[in-house]
Amino acid sequence: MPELERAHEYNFDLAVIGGGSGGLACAKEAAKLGAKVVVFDFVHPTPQKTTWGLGGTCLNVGCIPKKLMHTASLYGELIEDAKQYGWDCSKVGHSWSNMVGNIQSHIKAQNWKIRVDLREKNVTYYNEYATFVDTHTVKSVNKRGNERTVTADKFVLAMGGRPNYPDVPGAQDYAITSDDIFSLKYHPGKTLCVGASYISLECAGFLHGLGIDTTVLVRSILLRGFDRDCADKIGSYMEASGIKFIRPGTPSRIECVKEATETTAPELRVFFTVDGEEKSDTFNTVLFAIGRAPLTDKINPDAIGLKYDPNLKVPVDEAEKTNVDNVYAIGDLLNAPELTPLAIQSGRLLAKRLYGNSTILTDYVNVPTTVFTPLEYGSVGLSEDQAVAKYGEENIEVYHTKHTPTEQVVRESSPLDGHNFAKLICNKADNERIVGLHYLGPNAGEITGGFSVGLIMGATKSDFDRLVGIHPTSSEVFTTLKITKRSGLSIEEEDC
Amino acid sequence: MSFCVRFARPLLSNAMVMRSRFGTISALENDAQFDEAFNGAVPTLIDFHANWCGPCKILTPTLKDLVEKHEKEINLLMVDVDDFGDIAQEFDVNAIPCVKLVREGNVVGGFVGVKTKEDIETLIAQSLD
Repeated sequence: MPELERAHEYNFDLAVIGGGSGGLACAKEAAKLGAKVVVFDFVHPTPQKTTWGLGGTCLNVGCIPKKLMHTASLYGELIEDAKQYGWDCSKVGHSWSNMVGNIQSHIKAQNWKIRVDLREKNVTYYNEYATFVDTHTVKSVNKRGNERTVTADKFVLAMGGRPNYPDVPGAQDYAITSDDIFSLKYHPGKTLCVGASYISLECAGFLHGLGIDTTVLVRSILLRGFDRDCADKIGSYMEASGIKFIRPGTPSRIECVKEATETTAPELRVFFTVDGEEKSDTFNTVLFAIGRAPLTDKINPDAIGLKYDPNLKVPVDEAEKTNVDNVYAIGDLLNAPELTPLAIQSGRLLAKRLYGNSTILTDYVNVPTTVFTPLEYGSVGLSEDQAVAKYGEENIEVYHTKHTPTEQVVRESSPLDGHNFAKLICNKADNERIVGLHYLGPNAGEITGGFSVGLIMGATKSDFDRLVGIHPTSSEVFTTLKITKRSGLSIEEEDC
Repeated sequence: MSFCVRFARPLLSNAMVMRSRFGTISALENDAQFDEAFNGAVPTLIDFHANWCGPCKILTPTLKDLVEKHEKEINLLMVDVDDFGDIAQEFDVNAIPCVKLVREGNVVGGFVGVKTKEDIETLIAQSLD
């Protein structure tokens, strides 16, 4: 590959701090364009001593293992439903350790592939923790304490974040986070998930689906920032399925009744405050999912005068440049949706602008996402509250409906019915342009991903009406939406 | 007469060095041990593997079998690439299982992927001539 003409004397053209989705995409693209690139990646072990390899949050302790465990739990549901289709599924059990073993084998194989890929693309990789010395210099340390100094013309910050622990006695000693659950060596046992984030609900969802006694402790509302109708239905579905909710409640302390061993979970007594009263219960596992903090303060930002917000997010301009001229930031560090494909896209486009004469910026609007709770939730664009705030209530038309996936009709009726849902939010002042699409039901990611191209092309309600649906599918629900929220008409499904 | 080594587990613990009648079978524990094997007079099959690699689990027993039964003295050194990534990188190991036949500081042969005992025998014979 062509070497760039170098106008500097530094060791590297580009130093990327953080070998996750964004950092790796940026590094590889820059190397492809001829830049001399180094990636620093290092994982400080969790309080429970969990650690992992190259590839970042998504591969190791995020999207990938989460989707695999969610899938494992869905298989459990399908096995139940299969009985209605004539299958004899009388002898079915689940092995936590088999599942974790296979998932971790996949992850480790990917860790390896990524290392080889970087070598093949001529990207230098140091499994070392980098901190700034000055605007062109970092110092890095490996796990044996050996240090090196590296200089670079430009830097991309892509360290992402880590889960927060609350300031609650016993939390760091005995509780785990999403950093630990996907490689947990023992069966989690009776579990308490603390938090109302999608991480907490997704974890509670798959744990329950695998037959685990699961409780969720929530301070106030579920899935803050997401569409309220959808968040409420997710909560109601999870409760109907048998997941216990303690709401509102906050944890006050955790005590250890019996220590964990290599093969068994601990026994913990958890105290929490509900309505001003202190209550307690025993659990084997407590998983905190109360928020994540960017690792901005860990790279010695003051050495370069990096500006960052009190919540440690790094403000950047539309080209991902920080206040420091040669330092950029991408991924979970930003005030933007914390999503792998967005980090990858912005990493690649940034590299193309830095080393490939491109001017294309990343579009942060209409980025689709899916929450993989037991009732899956896909959305692109604005929530109803956001749309009302932006365009005014009188300009917003909400089309909505419940639906029943055909696959579920051969199934005994249960409290889980009636939660599948679809909503289109339109701007009446702009030809009923779709400003938000929301879907609750199976295969939410696949459906939402497909429809999102309509949103980025400026589809209107009449475009969706013009589309003929595929039958029988869940996706077709978006082609026949008639009832508006404003009309007050019922969207309950009629009996046959 | 044949010397059979029976294993309690498919892979040896790091602490065990088995002496078969002909060569030794060991798992790499440190860099010094590697240098000794690489520079030694006895040809050594270096088996680069990982515990998440399915084909590796098929190949390693074949290699062990071969080392036990080979009429010439050949050693087997198993290197877990997750523990010794830098050695794997040094030897340009990009896909596993990857076997390098080494002697007296040189790589004299090798192959990638699962092979039959007969094919490996042939490769060894060619490399050592």
